[in-house]
Amino acid sequence: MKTMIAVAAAALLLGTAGDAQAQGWFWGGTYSMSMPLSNTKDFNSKFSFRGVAIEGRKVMSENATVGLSFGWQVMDDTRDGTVQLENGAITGTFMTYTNAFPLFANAHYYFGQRGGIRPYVGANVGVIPMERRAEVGLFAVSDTKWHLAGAPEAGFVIPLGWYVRGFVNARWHFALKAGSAPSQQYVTFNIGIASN
Amino acid sequence: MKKLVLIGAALLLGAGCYPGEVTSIDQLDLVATVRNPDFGFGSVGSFYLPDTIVQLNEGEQGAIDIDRSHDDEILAKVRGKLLALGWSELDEGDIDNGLVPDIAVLNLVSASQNTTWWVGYPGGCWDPYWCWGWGWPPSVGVSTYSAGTYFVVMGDAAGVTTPGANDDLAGVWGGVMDGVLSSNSASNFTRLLSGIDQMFTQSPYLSGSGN
Repeated sequence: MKTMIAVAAAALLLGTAGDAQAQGWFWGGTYSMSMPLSNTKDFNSKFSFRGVAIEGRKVMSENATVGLSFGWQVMDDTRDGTVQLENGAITGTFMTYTNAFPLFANAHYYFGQRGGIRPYVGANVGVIPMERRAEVGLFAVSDTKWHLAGAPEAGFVIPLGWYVRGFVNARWHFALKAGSAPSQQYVTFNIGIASN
Repeated sequence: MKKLVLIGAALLLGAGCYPGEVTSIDQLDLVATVRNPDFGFGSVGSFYLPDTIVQLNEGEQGAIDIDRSHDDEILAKVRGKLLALGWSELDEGDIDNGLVPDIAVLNLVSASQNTTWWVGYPGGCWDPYWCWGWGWPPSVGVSTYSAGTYFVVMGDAAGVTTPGANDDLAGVWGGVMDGVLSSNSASNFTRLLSGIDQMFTQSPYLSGSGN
C-alpha cells in the first residue's frame, strides 16, 4: 500500500514539473481491450473489454518521445468443473479475476511526417502489480504480486485537430515470475485520444 | 487536463474489479473431497452407517434450525452409494454379535445465518469503478443469508475389537457439500442429493481402482 501511494505521489510530482514545458508533453487516455496469453489465459481465458490507460509523452525530437504510462486491465472467467488436488478434488463454479495495473516508462519512435498519420513503435519497461482472485462457492482466495515487466508496442498517431491527436496501438505485456506467481502475458488493443 | 489525468491515475491505484455475476443459487454450491493417500480402499468389504445425521453446531450462536424431514432419504442416498461400491452393510445386530466393519460412515450437518455488507453508488452508476462521479456519498447496505454444510466422513474401524461410542477412528475419506440455503426446502434437498452424487463421482478410488 505504501508503495502504491509513493508511485501516485511521484506521478503527481512529475506532472507538476512538466508544467514549465507544457508544449513538449501530450497527455491522454485510452480504452484498452485485453487478450490473455500463456499462464494468464490458463487463469482467465476470455477476451476482455474492460481496460483503461493513461499516458504522458514528452516530445524529444521530430521522431521520438519518452514518457510514462499507467493502465488498468481486468480479465475474468467463469468455468464449471472439477479441480483435482493432490489428495482430493473440488467441484463448483469457479470465477477467476485478474486486475493488472501496468506502470511503465517508455520511449517511442515515429515514422512519416508531422501533420499526417504516423506509424510508430515503442518499448515499455516497468512493473505490473497483478491481483489474481479465485472464487468458488462461498470462498475466495486472492494474491497480489508485483511483476517486473516489459511491453513492446506498435501503433499509429492520427492528427485530429489543433493539439489533439488520436492513437491506436497494440501492446504485448509480458511479466516475469514474481514469488509464487508464474510469468504472465497478455496483449492489449488500445484506442485513445491525447492533447497538449 | 494533465492534473485530472494524474489524479485519476492515483485514484485507480488500489482499485479492483470483479465483474462476474452469480445468476442462480446453485452456482454457489461447492463439493470437495479429500482422502488419506496411505489407506487402500481395495481392502474394504464392509461398512457401518449410523441412522442419524448429527448437527454439528446445534445450539451455538448463529446456528439455524434445519429441516429434518428428508433425513431418511439422505441416508438412503449415502447407503446406496456405499453399496454400489461393492461394500456390504453391517447393522447394529451384527455389531452386537462382534462383527467389526472395515469402515464407519458418519453423516454430519451444520447450518448458520451469515451477515454481509455492501457499498452502493447513486446516480444510476451501476459499476462504480467506471463511474467518475464521486459527488454523492455511497450507500451502505447489510444483508443476511443462510448457508449449510453437509459432511460424509469415513473412519477406519479395523482393529476395533469392542465397538463402542467412544472409539476414536482414523479418518480415511471425507466429502463435504457447502452452499447457500434457499427458502425452498425442496430445492435445498435436491441440490444436496446432487452433491452427494458428486462426492462419490469425484472419488473413483473408493471402489478400489487405482489404490
